[in-house]
This record gives sequence, structure tokens and C-alpha cells, in this order.
Amino acid sequence: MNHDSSTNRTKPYTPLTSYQPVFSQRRVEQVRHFTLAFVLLLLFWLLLSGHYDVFHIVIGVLCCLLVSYTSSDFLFVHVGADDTHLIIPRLLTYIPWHLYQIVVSNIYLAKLVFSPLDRLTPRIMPYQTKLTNGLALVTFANSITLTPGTITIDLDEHTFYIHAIDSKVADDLLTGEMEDRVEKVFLPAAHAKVRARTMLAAESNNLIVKTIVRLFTPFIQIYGLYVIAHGHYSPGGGFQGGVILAASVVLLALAFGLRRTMTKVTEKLTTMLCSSGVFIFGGLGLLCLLLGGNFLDYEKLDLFLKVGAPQSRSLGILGIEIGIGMAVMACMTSIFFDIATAGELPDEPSEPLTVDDCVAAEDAVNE
Amino acid sequence: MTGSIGIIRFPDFYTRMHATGKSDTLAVLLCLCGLAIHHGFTLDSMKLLLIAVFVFFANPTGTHSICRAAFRCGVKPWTNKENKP
Amino acid sequence: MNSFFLGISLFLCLLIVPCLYRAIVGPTVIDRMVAVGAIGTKTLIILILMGFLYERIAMFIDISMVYAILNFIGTLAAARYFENKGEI
Repeated sequence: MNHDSSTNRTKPYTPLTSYQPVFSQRRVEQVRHFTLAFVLLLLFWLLLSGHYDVFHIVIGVLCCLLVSYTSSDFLFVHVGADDTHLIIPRLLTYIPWHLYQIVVSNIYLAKLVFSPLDRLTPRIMPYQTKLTNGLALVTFANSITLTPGTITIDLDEHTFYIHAIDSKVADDLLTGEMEDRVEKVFLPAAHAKVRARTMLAAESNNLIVKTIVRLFTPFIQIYGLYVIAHGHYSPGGGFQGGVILAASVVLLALAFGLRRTMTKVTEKLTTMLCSSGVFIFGGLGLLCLLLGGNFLDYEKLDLFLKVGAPQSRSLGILGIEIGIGMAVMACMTSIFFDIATAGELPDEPSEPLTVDDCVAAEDAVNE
Repeated sequence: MTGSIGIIRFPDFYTRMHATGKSDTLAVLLCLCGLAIHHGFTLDSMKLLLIAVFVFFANPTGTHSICRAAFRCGVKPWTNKENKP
Repeated sequence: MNSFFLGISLFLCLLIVPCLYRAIVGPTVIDRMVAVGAIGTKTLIILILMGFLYERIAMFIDISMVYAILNFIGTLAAARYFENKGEI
């Protein structure tokens, strides 16, 4: 393991032009992303779940596998999986400092708010940055926005446009201390830097929102699945969880445009999910009817499950929840698509979403 | 602990639009952390911290996207409004 | 402690009023969007405080998490809409 990572570090990132021949390298990268995303998501699930019996953990593992399969690539577009273990601790040391900064400037701003308005000298200023990695840029931009008095308005390729409320906060920012600290956090992403630089050209439009959405989507999906799976303990269930899942799709569509999202979540998929969800719901209900009970009389399912009446009721509810969740998610998504497209796809550029998309976009730019 | 929340919570309301996005974030962060500490070390307090982390990332992004939209739409008075007393 | 939480919640409800004023009067749509976002974050806290008051924290935490997500999505959606539209 150690040997493996050291060879990776000394070797420069393979130039994009010779990308196709080394197919296996991409494969290895994918597997790594998948594993790391799976571990992270499973941790998140365990934190949410609170039920640590075998049954729930198995459901959790299944859900995490599903989500890592569909969206593990989202997490590692800017920073490869092998840099993550270096960056996370540094980020954790950066955040307290940043929190302290926020508190200090918040107090300053509070004073400003209560003082006469003519003390304010708001302006928009450009700020050249030396950061190149996409994630570093996003961290820096969000840090600026979080520090009261300054908001990142726009982000060109290497220029931030910052709205500062006062000359003092502007001067504070121009000292560049924050930038240096952010740079330190992301310093080891040496080979990711090469990739990020070209990618930025391809997606300088709305980088911040895109990156954050990429990072959030898998977790929101896990949360939706958690709500579905724990419907019989906590509020929620199929309907709510399905809506949360659909919300993650909507989020993707908002950040990356409908066209790209609909290549991931096709209408075929939503239709299939919708009908099979209804099939599961109706099927389970009818099965109970066939077994001599009422519609959705779960205890009759014990004939197959053989786990006792309460357990089988619980399992039956879970099955129903899954069916409802699928149907609701698919329905919501397709309604959203239908309303948003109004029958025809808008004429917008197809925006890179996963690592593969980004590589393709880079190739297009390089040509 | 909770006293400090109240104090920090207080100022952010009378601020202008410019300030709401961010002081709100800090306030939410402090409230959630305070409640988590008050609740003790359980799974629920972990979830509270999780919400805090979510808000910590989501809020500046939201603020940024609104500002960007305003900027792209060429809303000038919005930035200059505070200039005149 | 409960009365303290109740007090804070009421205080927060009061603080929503200026935001509401901004949301209704707000000279531009942007002002309204910001105000709605601010109200959303306050509601988040109120929800959690309600959870503490009713002593059903687990449930209210889940609800407020959904609320946080939806608030974020709503903000993004509005911002994107106005950006595409190109005018306020």
C-alpha cells in the first residue's frame, strides 16, 4: 500500500493526450473512488441510522453500494482519492482558524450595523488568486463569503469579484493570509492541480455551485434512502424519502443543466422506476389479499417470511415504503423534467458532471 | 453557553441584506453547537452537528448564487444602496 | 430550561418579523430572496427548539435536516431562474 502510493506521488499526472491507452489506470482510479465513497457514505449512514442490528446495517450497506455506484465519481472530481487523507486533517485544522475569523469579523460587522450608514463604503473589487485547484478555489470563495463584510460575487478563471462592505474588511482580505492558508490545505494535490487547471476553463461557469452540489448529492441521496428505510421508526417513509431523492436530482439539474442530468437520469429510467414502484406496492397488497387477509394485511406475509407476525409486519411496511419511495421519486423527477423542459430540451451546453465528462471536456478544449 | 448564543444571535437581525446570509450562518452554527453540547454526547447531537456542517457549506453557496444572479442581472442599486445615508 | 427554550423560540419568531417586512416590502426580488432564505434558517432553529420542547428530538432533527436541504435547493433554484431570465 505504502509502496503503491509513493510511486503514485513521484509520477507526474499522465498527460491527457495519452489518456486512452492507459485504460487500466482509470479503472483503478474508479475502484478507489468507489471504495472511499462507500466508506464515507457508510459512516454517514451509521451516524444517521442509530439502529445497529444486522438487518439495518445490511440495508445501509446496500444503499451505500447503490449510491456509490451511481455517484461516487462526484466526490472526487477535483481531488483524487489518494489525496483525500492528506487534505481532510488539514481542512480540520483550517476550519477552527476560519471560525475564529468569522466570529471576530462578525462582531466588527455588528458594530458597523449599529453605526451611521455613511461609514459604509461598499464596493466591488477584483482579486487575483494564485490558487488553481477547483476545490481550493471553492473553499476560498466560500470562506470569503462566510467572513462577514465580503461576498464572492463571481469567479472568473483566476479572478474573484468580491463585494466588500467596508475598506477595512477589504484590506483584511488583501493581505492574503486566508488565501495562503487555503493553499496550504490543498498543497499536496499536485497532480490534481494539472487536471483542475484545464478543467476550470471548461467549467468556469458557476464553479462554486457545481462543486458544492457534487459534494452534497451523494449524501442527500443517502439521506433520502435512510428516510425511506426508517419510515417505520421515525417520521417520513416512502413519500418523504422519495421526494428527497427527487430533490437531489433537481439539485443536479439546477447546477448542471437539464441536458446533462437527463443523460444520467433518463426518462426510461424514471418510467421504469415509477411503474415498478407501483408494482411493488400493489403486488405486496394483492399478495396479502391472495393469502386470505385484507389489502396490505402484512401479517399474512409471515407465510413466506417465517419470522413471526411483528417482524413480518415491519418487513412488509419496509417493502411498501421502498415501492412508494421508488414511485414517488420517479414521478417527482419526471414531473420536474416535464415542467422544466416543456416538451423540448432547452438549448444549453452540456456541462461536465463526472470525472469522465470532465476528461471529455478537457479533450475537447485541448483540441 | 446558551447565553453567548443569545448575544451573537441578537445583532444579526438588524443588519442589512448584505449581512444576513453570513451572520445567520454563524448564528445557526452557534445555536446548533450549543444545543448539541446541551443535549450531551448522543447520536442526536451528532446529527445536530451534521446539520451545522451542512448549513456551513450550503449557506455561503446560496448567498453566492443569489449575489451572482443579481450581479449578472446588472443590479447596481443593490450594491450602492447602502452608500447613501 | 424549557422556559428558556420557549423564550428563545418566541424571540426568534419576533426576529422573523423584520425579515418578513423585507420579504414583503423589499424593493427588488433579490431582497425578497435573501429575506426568505434568512427566514428559512430561523425556522430551522425554531424546529429544533420545538423538538427540545416536545422532547422528540430525533424526529424534529430529521425534519429540520430536510428543511435545510430544501431551503438550499430553493435558493439555488430561484437564483438560477433569475440568472437565466437575465433581469429582475
